[in-house]
Amino acid sequence: MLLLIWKSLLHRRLQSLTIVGSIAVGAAIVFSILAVYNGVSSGMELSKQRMGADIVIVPFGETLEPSLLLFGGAAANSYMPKELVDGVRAVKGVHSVTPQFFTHSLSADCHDIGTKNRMIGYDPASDWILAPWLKKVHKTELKDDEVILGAKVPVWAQNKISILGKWYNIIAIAEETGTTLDYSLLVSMNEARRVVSGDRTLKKVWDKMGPPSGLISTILVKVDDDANIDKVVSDIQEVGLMKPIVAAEVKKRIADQFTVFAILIGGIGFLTVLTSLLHLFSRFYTLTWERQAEWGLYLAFGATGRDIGLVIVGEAAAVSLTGSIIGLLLGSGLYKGSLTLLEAYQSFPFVHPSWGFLASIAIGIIIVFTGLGALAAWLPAHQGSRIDPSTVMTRGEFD
Amino acid sequence: MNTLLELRNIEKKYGDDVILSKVSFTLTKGTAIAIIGHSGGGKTTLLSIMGLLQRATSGNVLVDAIDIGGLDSYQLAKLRGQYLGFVFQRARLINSLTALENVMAPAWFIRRGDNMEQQAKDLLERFGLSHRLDHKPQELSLGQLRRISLARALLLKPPILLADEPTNDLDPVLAKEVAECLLTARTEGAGVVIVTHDPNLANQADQTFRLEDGTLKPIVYNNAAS
Repeated sequence: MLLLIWKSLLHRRLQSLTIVGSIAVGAAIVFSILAVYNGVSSGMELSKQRMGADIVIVPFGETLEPSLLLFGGAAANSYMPKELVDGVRAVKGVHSVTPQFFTHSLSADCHDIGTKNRMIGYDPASDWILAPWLKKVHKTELKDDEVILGAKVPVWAQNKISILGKWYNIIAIAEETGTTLDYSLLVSMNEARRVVSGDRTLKKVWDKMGPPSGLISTILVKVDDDANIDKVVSDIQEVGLMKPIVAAEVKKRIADQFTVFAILIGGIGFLTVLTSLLHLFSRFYTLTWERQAEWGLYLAFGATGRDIGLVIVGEAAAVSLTGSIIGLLLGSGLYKGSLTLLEAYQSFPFVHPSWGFLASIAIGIIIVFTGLGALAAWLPAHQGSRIDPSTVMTRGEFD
Repeated sequence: MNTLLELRNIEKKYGDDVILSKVSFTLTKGTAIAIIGHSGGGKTTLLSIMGLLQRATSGNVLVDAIDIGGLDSYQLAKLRGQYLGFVFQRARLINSLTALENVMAPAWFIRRGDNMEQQAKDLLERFGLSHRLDHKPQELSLGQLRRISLARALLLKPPILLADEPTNDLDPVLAKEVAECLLTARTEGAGVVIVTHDPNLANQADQTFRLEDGTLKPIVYNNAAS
């Protein structure tokens, strides 16, 4: 019977391919939407857990998009006086603050990292961001030749990395956070300042604002649980020329955008799937009648109505199965493509879905699409199984 | 017990139209019956009833002494698979299958898997088609299609062979060839029923009936050929 199904599908090659194609498109859209949405959701959740800052304060003149600053790992070379930290710490409702100093890695020679990543110098006295990773490796702070790498920083050697011509010992590779930290190299504040002091392109900045030792790039702020965050932001702005970014608002905006995106693309995916199923139903409904004489012939051979139903459902399930498998291959390409496209447009917290999750949605899509395909052919199969066997004597030639 | 198929007082009506009336006959092992009659006279309907493809309005059909009156469609299908082979008016081959696969098709549903492929090849060789095993129906001549159809009907060695106009549209040489193949089944113990317009074919049967006004009348008695 399997041979019969296979031969019949091959015989109606163009019709079969059309349905396989439309099912593949539907499956590809569903797969990529689920994968992207899962990555964003996980990123949102992780960034909430691990970023640990309610407000991120950057220098007043910073022009980068807040989302790029928080999640994109953009190399930002803008600075403000470190004295502002004490002013912010004194604001009512502020629970804790920690400054960071940014610069970036540049490819200096062939051993170097090869990509431009943000280098973050942290303050061991007040930090709570690196503390969990340092604790894991039984350290209290980083030495000047030690680095913790963000999860998405490329690594070429096992324990060492060359940055701007200097070799660093890799202490740990941080877990994915879905934030800018994933693209960052975390070093001590002193080391970051030492690295940046030699950068000739920033000489004009030091001439204007003073030496790097008196500057910081950002202040991360945690607020008290019962604090009014808008009031805290307003009070921070009174302290000096700074630009406070409320992380929750940025995340909410991104979440809203993704919800709209998911509804829009998901809607298109749903309509594609629905169209495929209607196409499948209509094809098998028509074929059931067109092939009455063929069913009659099988009945004359001794096939039962159930056998005829199985042939029809089997054909539908086979095209649905093929379509969903091809759709998964297309979907993985679509997932990567849409992710690249989305990242070019907007930085957002993103954690790549686990293989387990991808495997489970792949299996789910195969089962659901094959099942729906078989279901769409159920009525035609039911009618096919009830065809009068004597049609073989009365109907015209077969297709 | 030599009786393979028995019809008792078969009546078939479509609305008020009486197609068959009080039709009775018996088919025994190793014999061939021919049924002639004008077009639209109910021959194909009668063959459908004999082939368990449709039910009579009244009367009894017995296959190997089993009265099919109380059987459901599943049981009828099983009985068809076990007892009946069909040669249809046109070849009725599946265009998506090769010659060999067409011959093997009945075995896919009956699940008599033992060496079916070899038996199908042997039949096609017997009918001079061993060089056409992988050809699709659209690549074959009318005569070749008829022989494949015949091979398909014979594959499962059915005790009862029903043929509907098997030589229709064939030239005399080809018609003779098909008739010989068909009637040879008698020598293997099968009962053969042939519905035909072809007097030459009818003459080769052991018994010939004319279907006229819905009733079956014996017109010629030939000497047993088996």
